[in-house]
Amino acid sequence: MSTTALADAKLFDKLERDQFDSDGLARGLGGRFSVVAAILRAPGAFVRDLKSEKNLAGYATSLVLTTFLFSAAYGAILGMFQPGLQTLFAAAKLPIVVLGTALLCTPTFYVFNGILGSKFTFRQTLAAVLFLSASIALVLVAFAPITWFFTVSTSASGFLTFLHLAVFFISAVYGIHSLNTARKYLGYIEQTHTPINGAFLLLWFVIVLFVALQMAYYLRPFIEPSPDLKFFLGQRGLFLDAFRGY
Amino acid sequence: MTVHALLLRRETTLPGLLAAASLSSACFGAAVGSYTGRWQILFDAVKMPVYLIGTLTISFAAMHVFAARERHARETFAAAMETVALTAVVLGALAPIVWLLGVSLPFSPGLGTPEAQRGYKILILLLTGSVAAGGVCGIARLHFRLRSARLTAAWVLIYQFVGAQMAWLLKPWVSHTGLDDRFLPLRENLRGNFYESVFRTVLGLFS
Repeated sequence: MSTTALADAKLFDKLERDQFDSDGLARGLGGRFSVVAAILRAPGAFVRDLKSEKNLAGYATSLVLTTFLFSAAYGAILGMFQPGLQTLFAAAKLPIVVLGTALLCTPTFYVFNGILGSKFTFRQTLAAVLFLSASIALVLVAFAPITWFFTVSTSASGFLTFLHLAVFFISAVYGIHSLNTARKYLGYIEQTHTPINGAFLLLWFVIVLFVALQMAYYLRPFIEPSPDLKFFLGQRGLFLDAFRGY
Repeated sequence: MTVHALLLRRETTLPGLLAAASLSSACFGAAVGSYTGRWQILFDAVKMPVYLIGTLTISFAAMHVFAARERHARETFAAAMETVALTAVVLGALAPIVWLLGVSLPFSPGLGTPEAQRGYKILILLLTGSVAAGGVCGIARLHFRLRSARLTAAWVLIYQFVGAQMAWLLKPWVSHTGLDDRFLPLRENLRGNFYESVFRTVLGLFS
């Protein structure tokens, strides 16, 4: 057995042992947040529920809720560089970027995977994409205390921009890794078809990154408020323009 | 339901395919029109289904001639409609991304600024890529249904030959003037045709 196959076998064995009571997702607000445990400690159980379409509605609402609140919390810290209205604006804008990107890219994920042989329904696809967005939001909120500490103790917006970019990069890598692990495990437990095509997943991540950057650029500013304190500038442009100044 | 069955190569009905093709291509049309905005969104949402299904209607008889020996007209029409519907569904899936770029890329009325010209070119590039992705998926499905590379090539050639002129007749799609004041300027579009325009462009390269 090759090293990769051995590592995969170990991973699948670990995921097989994951246990999560998805019926608890419907038990009030606390139940909704229990999805965090599924993401962090029992992704294998989530993937098995995804395959058997068990409690998909519960998962979807919980994942949307956690994505929204966690990214809003991180957004508030983005806008805390100059506290006030900008804190609120950034808290409202970041969930739009994270959830908006996920929702805009779901049809592409569903249709191209279907063409490539997946039998996943649109609901299953949506739950898988929301799993990605919630994983990203979870890492963002985990880094929130650190970025808050630097935000209140630094006066250089340039440093903060790079710090936030680094946090976004780490959260994106974690999200990609989580969904890729889910893809591998799905391929292992699903014998009749390939639910998520590996090669297409890579291409899709590039599309997601492109959409997220473009949406964030369109909804700017996040850190420093505009001179007239507008929600967003409304100025059109391509996100690559942001790198012109550097 | 039809879209899911279409993706999984399961049995579909003609009305279902027609509805899926019309709605998906209308979404893509609306996304394309969002760059110019206002009425162009509606114009393109109407024109895109007309383009895809109209091209099939005009070219179907010629396409069927090549397949008539082995298949009934109903079978060939179902295969052709499935191909068009799948192409439209792929375009529909890409519509949200095209829409985001449409509303956020640089734009100015008349496309007078260099930034707007650049935004226009990026959008055209994105549209070309989207149509290419839809086309490749459609052709792959057509080949799966027809099981003949020669017949698939003949059908694609006929459809594209008519399709290019249909797109010319239905322009403007993005409106290079940046204005949403023309739904279908037939008098202007009937002057010359797509192939004549390509021929003149090629001649212009050597003069």
